[in-house]
Amino acid sequence: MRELAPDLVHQPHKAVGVLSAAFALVFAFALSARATDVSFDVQPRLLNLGETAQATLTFHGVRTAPNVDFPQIPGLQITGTGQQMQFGTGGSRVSLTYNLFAQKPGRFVIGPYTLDYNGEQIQIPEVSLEVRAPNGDAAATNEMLFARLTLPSDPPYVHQVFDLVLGIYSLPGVELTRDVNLLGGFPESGFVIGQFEELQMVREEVGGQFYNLRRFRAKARALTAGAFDVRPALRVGVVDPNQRQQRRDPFGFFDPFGGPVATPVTLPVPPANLVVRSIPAEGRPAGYAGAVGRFEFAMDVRPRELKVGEPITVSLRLQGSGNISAALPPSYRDADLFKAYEARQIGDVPDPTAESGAKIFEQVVIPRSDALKELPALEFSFFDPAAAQYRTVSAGPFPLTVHPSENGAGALLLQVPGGAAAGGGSLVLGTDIVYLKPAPARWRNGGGLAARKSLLIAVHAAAPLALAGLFFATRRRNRLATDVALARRQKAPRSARANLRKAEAALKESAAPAAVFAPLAAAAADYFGHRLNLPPGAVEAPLILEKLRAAKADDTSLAKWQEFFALSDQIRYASAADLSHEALANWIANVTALLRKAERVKL
Amino acid sequence: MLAATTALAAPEGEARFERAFADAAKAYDENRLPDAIAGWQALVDEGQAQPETLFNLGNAYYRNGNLGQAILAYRRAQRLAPRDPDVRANLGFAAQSAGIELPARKPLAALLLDFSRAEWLGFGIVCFWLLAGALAAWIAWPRVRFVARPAAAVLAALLLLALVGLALHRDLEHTPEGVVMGAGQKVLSSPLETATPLLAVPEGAIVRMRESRGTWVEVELGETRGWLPAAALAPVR
Repeated sequence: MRELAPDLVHQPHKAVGVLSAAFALVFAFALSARATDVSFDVQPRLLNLGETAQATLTFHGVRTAPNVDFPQIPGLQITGTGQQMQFGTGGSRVSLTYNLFAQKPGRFVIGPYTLDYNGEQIQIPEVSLEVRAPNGDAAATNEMLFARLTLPSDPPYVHQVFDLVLGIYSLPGVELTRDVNLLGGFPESGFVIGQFEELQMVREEVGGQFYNLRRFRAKARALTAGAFDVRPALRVGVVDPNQRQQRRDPFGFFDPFGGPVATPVTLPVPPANLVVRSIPAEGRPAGYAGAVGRFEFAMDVRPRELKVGEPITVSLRLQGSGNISAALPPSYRDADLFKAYEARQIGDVPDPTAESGAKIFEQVVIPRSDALKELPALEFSFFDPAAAQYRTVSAGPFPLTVHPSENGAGALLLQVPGGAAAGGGSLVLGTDIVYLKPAPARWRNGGGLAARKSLLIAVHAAAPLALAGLFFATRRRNRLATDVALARRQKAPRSARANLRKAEAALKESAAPAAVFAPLAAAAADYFGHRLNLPPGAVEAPLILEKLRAAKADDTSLAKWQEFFALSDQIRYASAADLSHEALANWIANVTALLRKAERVKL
Repeated sequence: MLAATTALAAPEGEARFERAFADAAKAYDENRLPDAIAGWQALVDEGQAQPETLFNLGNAYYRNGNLGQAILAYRRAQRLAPRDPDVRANLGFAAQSAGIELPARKPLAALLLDFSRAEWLGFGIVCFWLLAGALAAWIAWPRVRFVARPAAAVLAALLLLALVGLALHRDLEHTPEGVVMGAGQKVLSSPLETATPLLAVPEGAIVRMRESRGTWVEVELGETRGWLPAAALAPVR
């Protein structure tokens, strides 16, 4: 929001508007850097009191414009109503519109102002507005609309309920809308303020002029003593007489959108200082519990003839005006001759701001002995703010006839107070509490609780992991059971290792080439048989070599395999070769290495 | 599993606890109530807050005229042993002596809170492992799936029930019940000493502690919500 600064160079008039503009501020605003043309107009410029004029501040050649607040001009309220943008061949422009509402007759000068707009000093020309009183006398000084707050003539006491009255004074002929908004201004804490209600409208004379007075009253109660600033403000809608006349339909047709067109007007209420007095400590009765106002206290006791242990229902009624919601009646306390339960409120709870009302409590009292002849009187004390003194009212005593109990004087019959209030009968629970329990069967070991908790969590977290492991193991097992090729592929290294171990054993025992080469050949045959999922008779050296070649095994490996198969056939079937122990051991190592290489080849 | 994770107290500690318990009971019988209260309270402070200890502590407080403390001890005992008829009887007796009504719970919550946290925990652990077993059978032995599947569903539902029971107890830990200590307490409309009193609550009244603000606690009693000084309340934990 941007405010205007008065043009201090050109100041032809010492008008009221110019004086107030001295408080205006200038703010920087980043917008277009080019020169901006601004026009300002007010129409109409001659008004009767109660009529509304419209001001238009137009920025030419721009697509956006800042929100501009005009400086306050006493007696003239300027309210922004909106912004209009127009784009055309002549360029773009943005218009800010305002409602001007005069609260008193006279001549109002708006401007001249200087607007600091994006570093550019823009001059807004002066416009004057002439407002005439209804009788045509422009010099009349009576305001057409104002508000006042009425506080109690005597400072209220803490917790005293008092009236707050807001009055809106308007000259006859000024039509206000029904809705009135309260714009705060009351202390936010330390007060309980009820809803405002409108009283009957009256006519009142102020300064020799008759005004229509609308009054709004609320009940309030201060929670603490002290001085409080009260500066409320009201917003009312004032119906423009011109628009009101235009809207009078000569044909009497119903217009659903034709409600009164009103200008919202903010009415500041002259600030007031509300002093709240604390309740005097001097003369305060011992049983005083904070009640402020005027109260009556009454009691009823039923039944008056009963046996020991039977309940008596005591009704406590508090009625009056004041802080009834916070007031609590007195009640009986346990005594040697009777047992008293806590008093309970029955019925509705009064509103905290209620000015008056009644509260009813019920209390159950049980005679302990037939020596009880009466229930003593109860006293209720309150502070009377009108008389500025404490008062005490009492009820009772209530004579009783108490007979001995049939169960013996020591028996204790217990009554549920709530049940008694609801009309229920007495409930006999027994005469005493259940006796002690024996020691616990097991004592707790206080230490290691955190460790046990961690262990418990860890053990339970392991269960889902175990289930997941079981799931994957089962899936693998099922797959191996249904996929023979995969099962044989998995089996290939194991069968090869078994045969290689046999070859090593044969080498240790005899070092006979045939005995060593038989398991070596079996290792190769079993391995490739399982790897390639071949039947036992189909595993032949050429096929293996072909598969290795197709799998792009290296030449050295192929040559070794070829040499191994040839030598193996020669030893096993021709028995012609004579190999040393070292040579046989080398061949075991070679075949082992070749099989390891084959394991890494995708066949 | 529960047994495996529960360590036993050392024998010398047990003997000491037994002796302290017996001494407190003797003091109670001899009407030395402050000594009995001190003995059982010491056991509770040493981590032996067991139903028997709390029950006896409640009895000692009741006999000594401390209704609020008695109701607090009984209520704590009831949290640990919700279906114990002796605890129920004495709590009800003390509540009626104090002129209070025990807070009403919704039927399902009341049913679930009829089992202690330890019971729900044990039940949940059993359900958990049975469910794990049923799932394992479902995975490993296809032939028993026709049994394992409904069993797993039932066990999962029971485990869920146990978790709901545990959640209710957890809720009672977070927003615990509180017992009003001292007579003449009033629930106020706001946490200010000058606020409007909404309700007078007798000593021993059980309220729900909702929120803490400084030295004030927002409490709920039936339909009423308001504020009590924190010093006037003892949480049931």
